Amino acid sequence: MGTELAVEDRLIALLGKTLGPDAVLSPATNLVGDLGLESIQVIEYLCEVEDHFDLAIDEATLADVQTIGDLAAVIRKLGKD
Amino acid sequence: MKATIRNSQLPLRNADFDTLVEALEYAAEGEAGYNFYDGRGELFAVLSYRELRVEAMALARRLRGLGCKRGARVAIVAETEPMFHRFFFACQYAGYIPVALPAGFQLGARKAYVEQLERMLDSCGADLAVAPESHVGFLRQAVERLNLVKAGTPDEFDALPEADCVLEPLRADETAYLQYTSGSTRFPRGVEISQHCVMTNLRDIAVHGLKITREDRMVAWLPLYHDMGLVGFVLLPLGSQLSADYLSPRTFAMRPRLWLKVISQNRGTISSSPPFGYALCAKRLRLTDQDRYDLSSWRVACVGAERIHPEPLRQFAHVLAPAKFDPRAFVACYGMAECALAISFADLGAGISAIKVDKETMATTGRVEPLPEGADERAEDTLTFVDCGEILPSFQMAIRDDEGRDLPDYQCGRICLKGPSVMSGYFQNPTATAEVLSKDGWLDTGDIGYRVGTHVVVTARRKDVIIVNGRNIWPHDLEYVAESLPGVRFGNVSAFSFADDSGADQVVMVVESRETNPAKMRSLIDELKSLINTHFGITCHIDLVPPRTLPRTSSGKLSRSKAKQDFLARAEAPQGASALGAHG
Repeated sequence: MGTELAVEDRLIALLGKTLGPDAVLSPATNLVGDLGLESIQVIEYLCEVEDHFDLAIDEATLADVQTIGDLAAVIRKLGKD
Repeated sequence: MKATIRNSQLPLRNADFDTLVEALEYAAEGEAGYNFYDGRGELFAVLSYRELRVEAMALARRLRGLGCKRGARVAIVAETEPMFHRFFFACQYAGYIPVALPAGFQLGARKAYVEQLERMLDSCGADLAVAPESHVGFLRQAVERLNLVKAGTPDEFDALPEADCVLEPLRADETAYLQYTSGSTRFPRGVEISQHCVMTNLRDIAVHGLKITREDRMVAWLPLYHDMGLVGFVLLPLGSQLSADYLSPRTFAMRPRLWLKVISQNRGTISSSPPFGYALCAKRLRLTDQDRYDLSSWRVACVGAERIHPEPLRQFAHVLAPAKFDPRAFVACYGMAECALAISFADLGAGISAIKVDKETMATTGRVEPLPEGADERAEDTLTFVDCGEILPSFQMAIRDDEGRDLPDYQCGRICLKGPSVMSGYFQNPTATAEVLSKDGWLDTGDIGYRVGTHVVVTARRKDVIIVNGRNIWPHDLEYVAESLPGVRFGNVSAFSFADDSGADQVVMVVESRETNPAKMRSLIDELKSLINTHFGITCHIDLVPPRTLPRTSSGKLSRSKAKQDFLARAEAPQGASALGAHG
């Protein structure tokens, strides 16, 4: 359980760097809809995420990611493989 | 693994072939080819022209075994991988027409992407479709309701038996490919380009535009389903027997510095990008990185595909001066899929030539009065354009007014072109074709500009199209998505863009609504913004207005240009700042 929370927290911390301290983020935050990120900012964020967790996420997987929680689930799965 | 080299013996032939297959047969006599770099900038695949020829012929026989008729369409989801090149050229040998489809990348956009693929597959009447493993899931969903002969991964096609047949490659008078760069995602239009058309354009580009020599090497991160990627960096290097190095568009977006790394290490000489690519790269460069690269080999850095603003380019050249980037390498160019790729190139080695003109004269008379250099004009009284250079020799150009009359030099009008590099038409779409292509062969590009002799200056691209980060977004696609929301009525939405003070396109959607409760208005705006963002990956300003505010023509059609004028007037009025501010 402890590690599960950690992934979400780390994703939120990374995103906070892009959005600034005022952003209110939770695992339910929709990365595209709620935050109004441009696609190029989304890519920059994913780049940081990939570097931070040292893994690569393919397009097919990302097409089903909506929320921070979804992204955390993907990262946990890739981490286990 | 080693990247392909420059040809050591084979004499250069600058695209003087009748067909793409003839060009490949000749290139296969040398050592050059295509090289693919992964997300970390490491070489992961090499495909020499020699190997491509052998593999494409074998694959052509496998495709022929499926029994499709000559001219059948083969859709290829165009990820930047060797499979794209293999299938594209297998079609050339088999007598089939390749159609590159976008290899989409948008977070949470499965549904939108699958629908887009389905509409394109349907519109081109594809018989076969192939996607790399990473995208085949989307493709399988997209073909569920269509009746294709076969859709699958490259491996599934490679497992087919080779038909015992004589290959009859596509002839000069046959179609070379269909291109879906043009038009909206909802009503996709496939630009049909013949072998003769694309070969003429390649020859023009190689000989007159870029003056290609055997010493050249091309580097690209552009999507291969885009005309600049497909024609400029798959077909052009082949036509002139050059080696080409690729990064995927996604790799570039994530790590733009890898572009510089590949150019630097492979001594690339030709590499192009829409303006946003240069801006992104400059923005993401670390200060300590600048002298890690040697960009002195980069002699042609084409800039095209959207309106060019000089400032971001100056910035790019400035931060990369320590890496020996020469600002004179910038070459402004103008082109479109309807003309295969290129229409004009600025002079090589001259850099960007910015022209300042008087704003008021241009707005009121359409006449351009270039201001002398160093003229003491206030910035807000002037507009800056970039000379896109001399039109390629195979084109005739006319600048016309709305009644179709030819206009003189320095007078803005619609840019019209005629010549062998103009498309055959939009595939199986005579109505859309007739809208832009006259019976006597003149293409109305929809772009606005003026001429100075044989030089063209583009002042506005495609009356209505919105361009964000090099992507074309059509207003009616935005409006359609908005109209799907409860509380928004069909025909009560108008989308357009305007250039802000920095020259960047801002997207605006004016929406009529009966809602007067501020909290409900706020939530409708948020919903609309979120919806547009999910579908198009852009931020859109939403301007809610009362019913019957949007201007209509006498026939009841919405007027986008008038809606834009009204919006800008509201935004400039003191109390109307909310149009841009609070409403976001």
